[in-house]
Amino acid sequence: MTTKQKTIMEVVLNTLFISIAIGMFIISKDYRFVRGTLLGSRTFPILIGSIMSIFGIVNISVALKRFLSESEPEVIQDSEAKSGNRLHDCIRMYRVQIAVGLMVIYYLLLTLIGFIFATVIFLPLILYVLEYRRLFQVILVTVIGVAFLYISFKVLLGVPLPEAILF
Amino acid sequence: MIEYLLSGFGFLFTTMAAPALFGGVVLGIMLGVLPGLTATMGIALLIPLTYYVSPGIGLSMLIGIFAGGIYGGSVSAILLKTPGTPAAGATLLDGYPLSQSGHAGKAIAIATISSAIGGLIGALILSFLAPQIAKIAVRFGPTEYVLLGVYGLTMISYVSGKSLIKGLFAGCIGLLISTFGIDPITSVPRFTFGTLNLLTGFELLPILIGIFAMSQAIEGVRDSREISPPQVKLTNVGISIKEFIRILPHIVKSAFIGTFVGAVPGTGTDIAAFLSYGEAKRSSKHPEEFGKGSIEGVAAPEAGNNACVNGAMIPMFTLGIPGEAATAVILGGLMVLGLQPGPLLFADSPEVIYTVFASTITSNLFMIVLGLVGARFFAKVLSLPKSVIVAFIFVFSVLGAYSMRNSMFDILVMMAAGLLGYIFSLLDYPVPPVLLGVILGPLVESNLGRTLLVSGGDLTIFFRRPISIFFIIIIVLTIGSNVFKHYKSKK
Repeated sequence: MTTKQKTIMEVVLNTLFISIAIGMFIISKDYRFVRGTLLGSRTFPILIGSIMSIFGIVNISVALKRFLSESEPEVIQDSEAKSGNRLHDCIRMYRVQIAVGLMVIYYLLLTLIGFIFATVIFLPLILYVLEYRRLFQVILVTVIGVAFLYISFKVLLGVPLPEAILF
Repeated sequence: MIEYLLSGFGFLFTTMAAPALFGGVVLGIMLGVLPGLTATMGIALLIPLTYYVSPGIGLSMLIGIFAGGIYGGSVSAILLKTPGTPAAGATLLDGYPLSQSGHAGKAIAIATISSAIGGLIGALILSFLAPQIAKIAVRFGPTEYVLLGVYGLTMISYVSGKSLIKGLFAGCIGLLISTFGIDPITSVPRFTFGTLNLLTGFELLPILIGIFAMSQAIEGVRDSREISPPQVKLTNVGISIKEFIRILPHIVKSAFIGTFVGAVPGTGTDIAAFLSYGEAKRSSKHPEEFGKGSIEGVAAPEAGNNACVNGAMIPMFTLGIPGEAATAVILGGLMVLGLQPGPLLFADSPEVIYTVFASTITSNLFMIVLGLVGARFFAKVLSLPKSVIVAFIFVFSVLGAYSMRNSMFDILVMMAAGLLGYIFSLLDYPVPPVLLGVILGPLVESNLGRTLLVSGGDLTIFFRRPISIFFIIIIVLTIGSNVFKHYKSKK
């Protein structure tokens, strides 16, 4: 990750939480103080939110200062070896983003088709992203893994698994 | 107290607690062996399972994972030159050269024996010292609890890493998260946005699994193309009596150092290991061998870091203050099981607490057997495909988050926490302060409210009781020394 990307990310992160603190401040306007005191439902959130905003502003200014003081342009080395396959190279380059995307899809599948089918779809896909691609082994890992999870959680421990809304 | 401890052993060996402890130690060693996976993550992932068994059994399993995980890190440090856990960083200094010279088995045996003896001494100190501290702590009122919570929050400065401000920012995020849901004093629902999911606030477990397990899985995806160094072949696992006699004084000394370091909130197993290593080198008759494959250099840090595991549980059980990430997660586990960590735990649930003490002692005995007999098996774990493990951490995280309330909303919270944890690691923001904030927030807020209601808003109440004044002095000293330390390190 370049310094510029890191700085942008840090500024966004801190701004996001400062905005949340401001939002909580606005929402908590309706909460009353205990008569004659500063005690009430809004005291603690306002106190913590204010302190957090100050730290957030300090973090943003430190990040910007660090970015502006970097005089030498950063050289980004391409540490990832190319495989020759464009799809594989693309997956390799964006594997974290793809994995996060797969997690969101997994969540949606869990609500729609339940744990077993969603996991049967999710596991081979995430293994593909992780470059574990031997077909027989992927099938074996998926089938044994899902069976193990179902038996140990649902059957032996009685832990409920996410259920489908479609069927 | 002895009777309680014996009844703890009785519960351990007459129920499923002993098998759970054994399983926990095995799992902990396996997680510790694998670089990138930590005992903290293992504990976070398995807390949901403890919800479905009795607290004694569940906690025994968590204790086993913690103890096994810290020991397991030494195996990869010795065989791969890659410490499985930060605690094994000092073991690597002499463990790897020893294995390079064809004595990998000896190095593993020394690590195992030292870990077990160190851990055993630490566990015995924990079992006898913790109840005495709890007897004092049971006199605390709301005023002391506020200050205790604030003292716990000062631990943020210890776990903040390079930047104190980033740590404090992360701690505030945790505190803000803890304000969602019904206000403990006025019972007004806060920031619920009309949804029932937020009426009781954010559940601790999904946050815990997200920031400690899911974020590691995402990091696992990022680092999935890293190539491990070649593994050294494991030969005879054992040491001679002469060698044992040579390392024994270092083990005992390191065990006391480790327990003391662990009992001071804000320290950690890595500090205990390096301090023990330094002391062993200083007092050794052969300091020139250190760094080149000294057996004392393997024994001391291993005894120190495993003793530290038990030392770290002293403030956690007696005061409800987690000193570092793993104990913070176990503390979260206690809360999930409906137990309130702190001095009242000794009065309310002695059967649970003494089963835990019996587990800490027994886990070391399991460790010595497993380490010596199963060393070859654990070395084989290193050849497991990391991709498969990472994939299953994703699935386990989802199951863990869902299982407590059967809520899809909790899965979303876990994913968001995981993403936040990953972004934090990218930007060098520490994650443990978030958890400290979430855990200690309600304690501070509710007791602050009670204190101020009783005193009519008069803040001088904090200066009227001797224990409160003691805490204020400790808090001021802790903050002052840390600000000075950070200022000095920047200079």
